[in-house]
Amino acid sequence: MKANNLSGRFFYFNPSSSDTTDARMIPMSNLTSLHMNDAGTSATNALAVTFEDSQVGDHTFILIYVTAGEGKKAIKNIVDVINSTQQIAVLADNSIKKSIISNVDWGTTPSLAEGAVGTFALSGSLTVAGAATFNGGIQRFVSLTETVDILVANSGIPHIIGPAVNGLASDAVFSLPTASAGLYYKFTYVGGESGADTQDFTLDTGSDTNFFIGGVSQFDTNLGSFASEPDVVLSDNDSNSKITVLIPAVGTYVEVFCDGTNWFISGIIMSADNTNPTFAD
Amino acid sequence: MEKFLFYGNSTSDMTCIPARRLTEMDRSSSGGVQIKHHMPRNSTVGSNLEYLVALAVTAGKEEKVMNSISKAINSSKNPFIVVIDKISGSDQSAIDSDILSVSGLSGID
Repeated sequence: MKANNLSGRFFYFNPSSSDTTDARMIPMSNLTSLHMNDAGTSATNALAVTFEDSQVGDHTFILIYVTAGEGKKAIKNIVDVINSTQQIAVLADNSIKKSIISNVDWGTTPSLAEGAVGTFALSGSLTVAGAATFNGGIQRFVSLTETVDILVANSGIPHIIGPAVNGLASDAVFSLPTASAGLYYKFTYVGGESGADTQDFTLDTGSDTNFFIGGVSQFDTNLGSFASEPDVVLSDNDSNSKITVLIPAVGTYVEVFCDGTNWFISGIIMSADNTNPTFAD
Repeated sequence: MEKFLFYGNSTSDMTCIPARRLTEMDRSSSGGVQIKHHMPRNSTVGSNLEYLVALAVTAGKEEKVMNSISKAINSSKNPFIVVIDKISGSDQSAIDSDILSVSGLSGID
C-alpha cells in the first residue's frame, strides 16, 4: 500500500472511556487542519483536529489534550503517521488510553463534535442563475421607531414602523442610503398605540439631486364615507427629497425604488389628520 | 508523501494544514504575504471557506518567500514543512530567512 493512499487509510477515534458508542473511523484524506489552541476552549493544551464531512459549511471536530507546551510534537506525530504505511491509526482511544500521539494528557477527556449543517457567510455578492428555494424561509425584518439611517444591507427586507408599545419617537427621520440602482425598501406602519400614532415620520433621500418621483395616496380615517377619498399627493419630480407622513395609522405603507439617481415612490397613507402627507426639498 | 505546512506563534497558537489545501499565495502589501487554504469551516462558521495566514516578510522579498514555499512543497523530503516557527522554546526557524513573523492565527472551532 502506498503511504499517500489516504482515502484508504483511516484514523480511529473513541472519546468514550467505557464503550464504543461514539467510536468512528475517518479517512486520513479528510483531515483539514491541526490547530493549537481550540478557539472554543480556554485550555492552552487543546489540539483541535478537523475533518471534512458531508455537511455543508461545517466539519467534524476532535479535541485531544496534550502535554502543555508540546503541541508541535503532537502535530508531528500525526504527520508522521500519515506519511507511514499504517492502515489504521488510533488518533485517540479513551477506553484504553492509546494514541499515536505520544504526549496525550488523558486527564481531560478527548471530545468530538460531529459535523452538522452549518451556516454560510459570504462577503462577496451572490448571483443565482436558477430558482432559489429557501426551505427555512427568510425570517427577517427591520424595526424602526426613531431617527435612523436605512442600510444598504437591508435593501429588500421589510421595514416595520412603530412596533413599540408607545409608537414612534417624535419626528423620526429615516435617511435612505446613497442612491444606487436596485435598492428597494417597503416601510409598513404596524401601529403601537390604540389608534393612529401621535408622531410623524419622514423619509429623506439625503439630497435634492436624488429627488422622489411619484407619490402616495392618503385616506382620512376620520371620514365616514369615501366621498373625497383618496387624495393623491405627488412629488414635484424635480427636487423633493423628503416626504413626511403625519400621525400614521395601520394600513400605511410606502415603497421606494432607486434607479441609481432618483427614488420612485408609491404607497398608501392612512391618517386621521386630513393634512396630506407632504413632500419637500 | 503527504506534506503539511506548519505555522507557529506560541505553544497555544499554531496551525498545521495539508499542503494540498493551499489555494493561493499573494503579495498583500510591501512586506506582506498571505497564504490561503481551503477549509470547510474556520473560526467564523463557513466564512468564505478560507483559512488565511498572514506573514510579515522583508519588503521586496515577497516573491522570494513564495518561491521558497512552493519549492518546499514540490521537493522537500520532509513532509513537515515549517513555514515559520516562532514558538518559545522551539527551534524558531523559518523556511525562508526573509519571513519575519506570522500574525495571530485564527482559532478553529
